[in-house]
Amino acid sequence: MMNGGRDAPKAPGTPGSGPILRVGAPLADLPDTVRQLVGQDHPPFIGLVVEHTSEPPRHHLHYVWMRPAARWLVVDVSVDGAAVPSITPIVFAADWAEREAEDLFGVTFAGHPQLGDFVLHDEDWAESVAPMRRRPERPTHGGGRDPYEPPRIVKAPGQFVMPVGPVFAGAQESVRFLLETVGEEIMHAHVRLFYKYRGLEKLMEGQLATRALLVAERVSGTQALAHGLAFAQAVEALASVVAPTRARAIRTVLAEWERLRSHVGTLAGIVESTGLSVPANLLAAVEERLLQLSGRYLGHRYLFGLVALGGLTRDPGDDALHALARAGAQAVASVQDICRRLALDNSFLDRLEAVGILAPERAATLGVVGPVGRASQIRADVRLWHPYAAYREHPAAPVLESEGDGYARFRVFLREAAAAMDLIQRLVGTLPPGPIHAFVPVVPGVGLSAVEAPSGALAYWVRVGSRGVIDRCHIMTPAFLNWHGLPDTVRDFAFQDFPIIASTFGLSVADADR
Amino acid sequence: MIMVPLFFALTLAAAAAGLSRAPRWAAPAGVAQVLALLALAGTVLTHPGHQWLLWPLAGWGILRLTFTALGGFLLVVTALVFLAVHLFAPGYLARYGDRYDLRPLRATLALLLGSIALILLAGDVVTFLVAWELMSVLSYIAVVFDHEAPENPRAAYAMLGAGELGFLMVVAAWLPLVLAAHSIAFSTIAAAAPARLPTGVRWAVFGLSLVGFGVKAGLFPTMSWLPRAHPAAPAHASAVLSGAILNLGLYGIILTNVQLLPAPSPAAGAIVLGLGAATAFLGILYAATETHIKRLLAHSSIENMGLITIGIGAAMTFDRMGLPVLGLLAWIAALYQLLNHSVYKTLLFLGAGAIDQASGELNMDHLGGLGRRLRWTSAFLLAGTMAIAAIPPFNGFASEWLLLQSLLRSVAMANPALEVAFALAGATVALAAGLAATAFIRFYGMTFLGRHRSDHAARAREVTVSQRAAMGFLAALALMLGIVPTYVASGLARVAGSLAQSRDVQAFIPTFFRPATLPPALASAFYPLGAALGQRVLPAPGVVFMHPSTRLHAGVVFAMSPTYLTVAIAVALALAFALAQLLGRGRVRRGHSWMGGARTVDAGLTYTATGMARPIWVIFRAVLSPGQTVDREEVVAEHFRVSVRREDGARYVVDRLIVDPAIRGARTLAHLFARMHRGSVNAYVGYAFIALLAALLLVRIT
Amino acid sequence: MPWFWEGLKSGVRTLRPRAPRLPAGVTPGRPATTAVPAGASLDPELCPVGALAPQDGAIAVDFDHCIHCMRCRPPASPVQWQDDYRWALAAAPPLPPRFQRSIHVRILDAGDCGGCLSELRQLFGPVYSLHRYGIYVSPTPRDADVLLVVGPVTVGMRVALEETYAAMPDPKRVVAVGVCALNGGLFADSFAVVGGASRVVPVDVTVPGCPPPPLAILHALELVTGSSREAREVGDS
Ligand code: SF4
Ligand code: SF4
Repeated sequence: MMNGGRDAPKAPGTPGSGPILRVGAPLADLPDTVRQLVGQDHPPFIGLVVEHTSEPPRHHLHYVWMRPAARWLVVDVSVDGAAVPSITPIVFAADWAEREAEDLFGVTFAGHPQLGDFVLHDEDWAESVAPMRRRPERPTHGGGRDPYEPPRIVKAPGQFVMPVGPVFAGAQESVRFLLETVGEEIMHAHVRLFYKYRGLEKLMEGQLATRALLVAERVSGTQALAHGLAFAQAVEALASVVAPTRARAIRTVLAEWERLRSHVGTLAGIVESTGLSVPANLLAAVEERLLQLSGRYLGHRYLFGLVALGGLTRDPGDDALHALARAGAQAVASVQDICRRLALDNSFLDRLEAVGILAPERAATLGVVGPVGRASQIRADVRLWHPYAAYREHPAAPVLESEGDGYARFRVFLREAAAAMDLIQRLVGTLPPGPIHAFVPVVPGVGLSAVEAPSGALAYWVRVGSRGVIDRCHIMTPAFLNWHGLPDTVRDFAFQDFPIIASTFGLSVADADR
Repeated sequence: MIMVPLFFALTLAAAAAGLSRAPRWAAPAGVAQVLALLALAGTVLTHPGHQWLLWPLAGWGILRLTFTALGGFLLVVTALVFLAVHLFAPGYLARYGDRYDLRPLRATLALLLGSIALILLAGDVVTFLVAWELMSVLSYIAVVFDHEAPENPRAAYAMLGAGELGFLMVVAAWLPLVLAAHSIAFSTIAAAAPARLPTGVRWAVFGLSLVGFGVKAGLFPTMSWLPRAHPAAPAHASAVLSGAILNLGLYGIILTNVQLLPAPSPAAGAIVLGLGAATAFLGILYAATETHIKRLLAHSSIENMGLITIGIGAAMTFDRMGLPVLGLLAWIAALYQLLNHSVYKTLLFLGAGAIDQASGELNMDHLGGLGRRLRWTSAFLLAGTMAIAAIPPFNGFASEWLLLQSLLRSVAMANPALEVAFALAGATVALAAGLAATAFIRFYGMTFLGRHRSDHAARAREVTVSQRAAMGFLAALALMLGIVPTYVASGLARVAGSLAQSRDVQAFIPTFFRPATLPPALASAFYPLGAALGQRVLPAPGVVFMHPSTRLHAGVVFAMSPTYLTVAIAVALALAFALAQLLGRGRVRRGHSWMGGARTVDAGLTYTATGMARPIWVIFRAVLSPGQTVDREEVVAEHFRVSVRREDGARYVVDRLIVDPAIRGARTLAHLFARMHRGSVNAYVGYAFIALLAALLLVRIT
Repeated sequence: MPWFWEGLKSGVRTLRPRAPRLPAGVTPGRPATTAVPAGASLDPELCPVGALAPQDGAIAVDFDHCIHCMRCRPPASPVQWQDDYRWALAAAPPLPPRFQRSIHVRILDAGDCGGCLSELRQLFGPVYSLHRYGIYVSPTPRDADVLLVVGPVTVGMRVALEETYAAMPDPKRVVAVGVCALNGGLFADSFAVVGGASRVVPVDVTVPGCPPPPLAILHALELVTGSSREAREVGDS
C-alpha cells in the first residue's frame, strides 16, 4: 500500500537521509503553516505534487520549495474529498499548480478564484474527467463544452480580445494568447497552454524506470539532458546510488553544454524578434554550429540517449570533450562579439530596454525562476543552492541583474552562456578517469531531484513501486513557473512588443505542457 | 414670379396637412412643397437681382425678397435634402408612432423648410433675422422631438442656447452696417456701408459675423453643440440639420463678408482659412475616433464645414490679392464641396436612421455584419462612404481634389506669409482626407462587414422601399456629381461668378476643355495627358480644368478626369470579374475563415471600432484625452485581477480648452461682482476711490 | 546599415548539401540493417522500442519506431551505423511539376517535444537557407502547398491540424516529420495523444528520426517537389 505523505522522499547528493525538511500539516492549518514557513522571505515555489491512492485519505499533496543553501522544504497534507484551502493568497506562484491539480485530480481548492479550464481544455474534455486519479479505465476525451469562451477581465467601451494562435506562421510551438485590449496596448494577457498536453506523467506510470527515462528526455527536446538527468538522479537517490565521479563530471559538462546551446538559441530568438536579421542569422548560425558539434562529439544533436540510470550510456572520451570545448569556446567568442555590437545598436536597445519590466518583488511574487528570475534579482539556482553532479566541486559562477527588463534578461542569457563555457573548460581540464556507470537496484519509494535546466529549476518527484515500475512521476518544470510570469510582464505594452517580451523569456511550451 | 407666393402657400398647406389627422396627406404635401421650392429655385437662378418688395419700414427702407445666385443655389441644395427626407420620413417615423404624436414634427419640418427658404430669399436685415429666429426655434423643436431620453432635451437646449448667442453676435455685427447705410436693405448696405465704416469697425463686423454665423455652421470654436445635438435628433432631422441648416451659417458668413462688406484685408481671408483648417482638423480627428455613428457623422460635418470654410477663405484671399481666376476656382471648390457634403451627409444620416431602425443600435462597437441583412442600405451607404472618403468616382473626390489644387496655387500670390498659411491649410485638407478615409472605412467595415457583435445586430431587418428610394436617390446623385465634375463646375461657376470680387469676372470663367474650341497649340499640349481619349464616345467634356493664359494671368490648368477614371475602374472591374470567372470556374471551394487553428471564434475576438481607431487615438492622445483615462482594478485573493475597468473621462477638446474656462471665468466674474455687492462700506469707499484715481489719471494722460 | 556590412564581412555560412563531404554532426546517423557475423548475437533487450529484429542472418531496423536512443550505437552492439540523411519516404506522387521551382510550406506543431521543431527552425535558418531552393515558410495556410507536421497529435491539437489542412488549397502534401508525427512515437499510448498525423489527415511523405536532422527534412521536401531521384521513381510507379 502506498503511504502517501508519510514516507520520506530521497534526494540526490546525500544518500539516505535526504536534505529535505518535511512539515506535515492538518488540512485546516495549511495556510498558517505555509505563512509561517515561507511568508517572510518568499523562497521560490517549485511545485505541488499530488498523489492519489485507492484508500482514504485518497489525495496526498506535497508543496515543494527550494531555499537558499538549506534543505528543500516540503509541506504535506492529506485530504479525502474535502476542499483544500488555497495557498495562492500567500504564495501566488502556486496559482497554476493548484489549477493543474484541480484539473487532473479533481482536488478542489477553496479560495482559488480561477479554477477550471486549464490543462484539460473545456472544449475537449468533460468537466468530470480527472485523468490522474488511479483508476483502471483509460481517461477519454469528448463531451466538452464547445465553443470555448475566453475569459474577460477588461471592462471598457470597445474592448475586445485579440486571439493569437494556437497555430503560428513559422516554426513556433503551439500555444494561444488571448490579449484583452481596446486596441494598440495589451490591457490583460491570458496565456492558454496545454494544447500540447501529452499526458506524460500518466504515460510514465507503470513503465520501467529505464523506459520512463526515455520519455523524460522527450518532455522538452531542447532540454533533454536536464530532464534525463533530473529523472535519473531521482531514481538514483531512491536507490542510494551515487553515479561515479567521472560520470558526474561528464554529466556536468553535458548540462553546461546544453545550457550554452539553449541560451545561444534564446539569444538568436530575441534578436530575431527585434527584427535585426543579420545578427539574428549570425547567432542562428552559431546555434547550428553548436548542434553540429553535439552531433559530432556527443553522438546526438540534442544529447538524447546519453544519460543512463547510474551514470551515462557512453563515454564520449577525453579527446572528444577537449575538441568540443575548444570548438565551443570559438563559438562563444563569436556570440560575444555579435552581442558587443548589439549593445551599441540603438534600434536594438530601444526594443529591449525598459520593455517587459519584471520588478524584483513582483518576480518573487509571480515565482519566476532561472535566467528570467536572475534578471530580476532572484538568485535561485539549483546548482548553487542544492549542488548535484559535479557542481559542489566546480560551482557555477553566479549571474545576476536587477533591472528586470528585456535587456537584463538578454544580458543574463549572454553572461550565462559565457559562464557555461568557462565551466566546461575547467571541467574538461580536470576530467577524472574511471567508470561512467553504476548499477542501480530497484528500490521502492519516493525520490526527489532537481537540476538547474537551461531555463531554470527543474524537479522530478518519482515514486517507484515494488516491481520497479513508476507509480507516480511529477515533473515540475521551469517553463511552467515562468509562463506564469509572462502575462503580468506584457501588460500595458503595445502589441508589437509582445513577441519581443515573450522571446526574452526564452520559454518552451512543451516543457510547460508535458 | 408666381413661384414665391405659391411656395409659401404650399408651405402652409404642408404644415396644415402635417397637423391633420390623416397622415397620408403629409408626405405628398411635403413633396409638393419641395417641388415648388425647386421651381422657385429655378426662377431665382434665372432672374438674379430681381426684388420682391413686401412692406415698407418707416425711414429704414422696405422689407423685401431678393433673388441671388448663391441663394438660388442653396435653395436647390436644400430642396434635394428635403426631397430625400420626405421620402425617408414616413417609414422611419413609424417606430416613434406609439410613443409620440407625430403631427407637430411633420408641421415643424414643413415650416422649417419655409423659414430656410425665407432666409435665402431675404433681401433685408429684418426679414433675414426674423426668418433666422424662426429657423432656430423650429430646428430646436425638431431636434427635441424624442424628448424621453433625458440627455436629448439638454442637447437640444445647448443647440438653441449656442444659436441664440450667435444670433446676438450677428445682430451686433450688422448694427453698424444698418446705421452706416441708414437702411436695412442689403443692396443699399452693400453699396453704401463699405465706404462709410472705419477699418476698426470693419474688423469688428468681420469678427462678430464670423463667430456669430460660425455657431450655426459648426465652426471652431463654437461647434461643441453639434456632436451633442445630432445623436438626440431623429435621423431625418439630423439630415436636415447637417444637409441644410449648417450651410446657412456659411451663407451668413459669405453674405456679410463678401457681399455686404468685403473683408478689410487679405488677412481676413487667411483668418477664415485658418479657422476652417482648425475646424476641419478637429472635426475629422474626433470623427476618426468616435464609435457612435451619429456623433461620428456630426464630427464629420464639422470637418466638412471646415473644408468649405477653407475654400471660402482661399477664395476671399485670392480675390483680395487680385487673382480673380484663382478666386473663382476656390469659390467653385467651396460650393462644390458644400453641394457634395449636403448630398452624402444626408445620405449617411438617413442611413444611420435605417441602421438604428433596423437594429436599435448606433454604437459601432456593438454592430457588425449588417451587410448581409440590409443589402440595399449597405450598398447605398457604401456609395456614401466612398463619397465622403473622397474615393473616386464619387463626388467627394472631385471637390476635395479641386480644393487642394486651388490651395496649391498660392505661389501665385508671391506672399510668403500667405503661402505658408495656404500650405498648412493644404496639409490639413490632405490629412483630413486621409483620416476621413480611415474613419469611414472603419464606419462601413464595423457596421456592415464582419460578424455581428450583438443580438440586435443579428436581428436587423431591411427598411421600407421608399426609405431605400431616398437613399438610392442620394447615392445616385453622389455618383453623378462625381463622374461629371466639369458640368457641375461650369454650372457652379455662374454662382461663383456672383461672389468673386473682380468686376470682369465673366471673362474668367474657365473654358472647359473641348479640343475643338481651343487653339491647336494649346490643345496639343494636353493630348499627352490623354485629353482627347474617347472624346467622341463620352458625352462629358473634359479631362482638364483649365483657363488659358491671358495677358493678365498665367494659365490655370488642373488635370483630372473622374469621367475617364470611372470608365477605367469599370473596365478594370469587369476584366477582373471575367478573369475570375474564366480561371476559377468550378474550382471555388468554400470554407470558413482561418482562425489560427481554432474552430470557433466568437464576435468578442474580432476588432471593435474602438480598437480600429486606437492607433489614431494614440497619435493624437494629447488632443483627444490627455491623461484622462483611469484603470480601476479589482483584485481578489490578494493577487488575481478579476476586472479592469477603464474610464475615459475625456472631455471634448473645445469644451475643455475654451468653453469650460469661459464658463468658469464668467462664474468667477459673477462671483466677484456678487462679492462687491456684499462688501463692507469701507470696501465700497475703496472701490470708489480707486475709480476716481483711475479717471483722474486718464484725464491727465489724454 | 552597419549590420549589412557585418553580414557581408561574415561571409557565407550556408551549407551545400550536395558537397562531397558534409561537416560532421549535420546528421546524427542511424542504425543500418547489418549482417550479423556468425556467433555474434543481439541482446533482445537492447533496443527499448523493439526496433531491431533479427531477420535472415541480419538485423533489420524498423525506422518508423527507432527513437534514436543511441543504445545500439557501436561499440555497444554489432549494429552498424551510417551517417546518411536521405531518410524520407514518399507514399504519394510529388506535386505537379510547376511546383519544382517554388513551394510554400506551413509548419504545424501538433505536440512535439521541441526537438523536431528546433530542427525545422535550423532548416529554415541561415545555414540551410532554403530560399535558394524556392522553399518558403508561408504566413498563412491559404498560400501553403506543403504541411509539415511535427509531434504526436494531441487531443488539444487535433482540431488545429484538421483546420490547417482544410484551409490549404489543393493540390497539397502533408509531411510527417519525426517518429512522433509518424505514429505517435514514444507517446502513442498516452490518453491525451491521438497518434500519428495520419490518424487525422492523409500523410504523403514521412521522415523518421527523433528528431530527423534538417537535411532529412530537406530530403522530404525534395520528394514533395519531385526534384530528387527517389521522387521520380515514386511518381513513375
Ligand atoms: S537507436 Fe535506439 S531505438 Fe533506434 S534502433 Fe537503436 S536501440 Fe533501437
Ligand atoms: S520525434 Fe523525437 S524529437 Fe521529434 S517530437 Fe517526437 S520526441 Fe521530439
